[in-house]
Amino acid sequence: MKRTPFLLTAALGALLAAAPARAGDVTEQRLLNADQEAGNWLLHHKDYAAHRYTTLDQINPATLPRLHVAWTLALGGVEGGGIWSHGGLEGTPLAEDGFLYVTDGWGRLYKIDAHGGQGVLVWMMDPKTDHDWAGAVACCGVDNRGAAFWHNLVITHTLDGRLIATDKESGKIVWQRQVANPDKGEVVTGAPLIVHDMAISGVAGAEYGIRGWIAATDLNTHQEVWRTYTIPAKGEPGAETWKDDHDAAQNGGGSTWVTGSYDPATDTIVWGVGNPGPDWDNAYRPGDNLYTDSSLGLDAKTGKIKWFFQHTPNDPFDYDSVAENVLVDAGGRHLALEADRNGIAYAIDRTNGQFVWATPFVKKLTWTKGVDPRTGKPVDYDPQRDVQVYVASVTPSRENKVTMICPGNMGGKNWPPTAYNPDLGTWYIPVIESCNRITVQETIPGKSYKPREFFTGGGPSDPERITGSLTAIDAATGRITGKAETRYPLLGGVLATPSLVLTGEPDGTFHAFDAKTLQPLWQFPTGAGISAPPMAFMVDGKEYIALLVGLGGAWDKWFIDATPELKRIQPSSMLYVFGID
Amino acid sequence: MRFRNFWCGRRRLAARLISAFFWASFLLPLLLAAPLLAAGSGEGPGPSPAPQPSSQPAPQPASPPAGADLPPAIAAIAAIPDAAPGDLAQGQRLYRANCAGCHKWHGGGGGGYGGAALSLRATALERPQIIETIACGRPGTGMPYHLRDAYAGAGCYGLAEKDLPAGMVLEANNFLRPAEIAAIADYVIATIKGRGEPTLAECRAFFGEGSRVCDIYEKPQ
Ligand code: HEC
Repeated sequence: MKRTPFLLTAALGALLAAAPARAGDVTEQRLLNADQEAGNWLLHHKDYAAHRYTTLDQINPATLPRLHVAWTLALGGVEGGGIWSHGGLEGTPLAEDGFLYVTDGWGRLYKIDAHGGQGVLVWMMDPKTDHDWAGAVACCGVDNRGAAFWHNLVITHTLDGRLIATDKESGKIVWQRQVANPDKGEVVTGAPLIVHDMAISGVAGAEYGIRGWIAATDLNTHQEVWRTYTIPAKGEPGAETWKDDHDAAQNGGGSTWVTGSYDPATDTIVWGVGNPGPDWDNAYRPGDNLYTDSSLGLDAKTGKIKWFFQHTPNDPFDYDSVAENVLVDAGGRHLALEADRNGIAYAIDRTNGQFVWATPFVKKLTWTKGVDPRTGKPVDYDPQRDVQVYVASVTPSRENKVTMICPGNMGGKNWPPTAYNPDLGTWYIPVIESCNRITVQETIPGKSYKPREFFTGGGPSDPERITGSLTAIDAATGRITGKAETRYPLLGGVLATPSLVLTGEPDGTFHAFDAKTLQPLWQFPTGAGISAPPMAFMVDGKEYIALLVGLGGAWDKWFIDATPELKRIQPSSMLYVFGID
Repeated sequence: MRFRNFWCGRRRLAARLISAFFWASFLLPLLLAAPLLAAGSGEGPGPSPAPQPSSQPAPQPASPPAGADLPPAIAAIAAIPDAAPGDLAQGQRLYRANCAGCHKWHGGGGGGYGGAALSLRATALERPQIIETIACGRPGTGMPYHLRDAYAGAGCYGLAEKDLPAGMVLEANNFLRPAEIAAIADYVIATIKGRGEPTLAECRAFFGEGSRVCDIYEKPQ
């Protein structure tokens, strides 16, 4: 996002401070300038550019020794449903004027008064999510990543596919609408993105044979404005990249379950698209399989695809590209940065989708020999082939049915968000340093697909230990400038401050690293699993850091063998708030 | 231990490789003497030499006579009289809490993100072997044991946990009492085993009203 109009926005901010908008009225202007409201956290990724950067600096290397738990609040949502024995927390709290708004895995929304150095629950909205209906088709956990503000409403999703508007004062549901259909294997786990007067929703379900989409709901009329499918219909551009004769595109995947970013300068929504389905049997779906594994630039008003950049054509690895795109101006270019599940960080020009640079950010990457510096495609990608083989000895296929891939299918980097420090020009990636084993199972046209059943063409197993790292990249050049290794994969995401980087490990360790050197400076054992990103806010003139704690997501069901010690982590659901004493 | 039970069959293939090695090196004599155990691997008469991924249940060898070769603790459960027809509520409740996470409500199990719990609809096992499988689990696969003392002494399959490589037997999330194991087995036999595709009536009987989970069985596909 442009940082040039700083003076202008600062002036505007001063103006707003002098004559504030009605309390609780989160206007489009405020969202556009969310990065200027230092004490508040108004958007899921803090600002439209998805920087997750706070300018608050009371908590810094000098004061870290005095950083302690200020208060905690127990939340709900640990109960199971469907194939899940428990829910977990992956959300980013929102903060406005000393009030926090957080969600649990089943979509309950909690408003918490953080004034006076303690947390008091003001109200809780329970959407009564249909646990069995949704939980049976949630591939990767009972998750909800948070809320969004629009005027005096708080907008959320539920796992069972609803978009809900809750009154900020009373906690009462004002209206709701079904955006996704669990009968088709669709569920929703991401936070909505508010653009203009619309809520943008993404969908999960590529492991259940959905055809993915991004949808916009008009918040005034509660009607759908547009819905853009990530898999083109017959006759649309991109349909020619599905070359089979059995309509694989119909169950082609391409989910969109991570909240995207927005570039007001060009009115473009930038959103990541997930893996094709079936995940590992790419011979079932010859062709490049657009727009799976791509970053999309969408016209905000119409949802029309303006540009795309695909990372892993005809993906046989489950290397999705749902990750957030971080909008950064660096090296004289308007970039979108994405840390892909395939282990490679990409910068593209966000005005046209053109490739700029790529850097592997994991320690071990075996599936490709590298990225073509001209096109950004893997060097072993062969446009003449319908079924890609990449590094054939590694790549899962009907011929190579059991194979180790690095990174493992969970990535590289999964949904946990990165953060960007604009002063240092440094981008921080929460990394899963991994390999895992893929076993391919041939998918039979007309037989393998069943509604609400897994449609994956195989599965992973985890015979090797998996660790993590916090990896820093210089946005202008793509050069790696630091790597702090962690015992466990980073499953929670990152917050950047002027002087620090904060992130949690799934064993409960919450870390602060030095922003420049990545030296570990501070840690606190929360005593439960961290799978959510920290955020910062201010109340009563004091900076606090909030963190949801309670292991959610796919790890403990599908990947736990790679981290045996985590088997003893118990389900839990807790908000931790840290402050200087 | 707690989370192990949640993984269903995702470790099945890996585990089978280990298990093949394991059985071959330590237990070959025992194995030859215990055809049931080999049947338990779902793939014919011996340890499987290579993983055979399949969401479909492998053909089951014919079951040995009911009660044959069962350790005393298991034989005692098998001797519990069958549940009276229509008296399946407890079995259903226990199935839902202990089995459905892996085998699904309909018992179909199936290809998963991380492996496959076998289909109980297609199972060829008889009541004593179903009871044995619930109580003892299946070493080297994702099927956990549900009887507290299953491997305390030389119980299930003549094995003791202390002599087994770590991770060879999975402990269930909850242990079940003998009468509960029998109730689940009776529920599986009465409502799941031998059935074809899941139906709306079965779904309603399982979930009752209040969830849309049965929607898809209502609409013509
Ligand atoms: C953690 C997941 C899990 C749980 C919980 C679980 N199972 Fe299993 N079950 C499996 C797996 C995986 C297999 C396949 C084992 C193999 O590969 O031989 C299996 C196999 C079986 C079999 C053998 C079927 C055959 O035809 O050989 C039966 C019977 C069975 N389970 C019943 C149950 C019952 C009843 C319960 C609840 C008390 C239960 N299981 C709980 C994962 C599970």
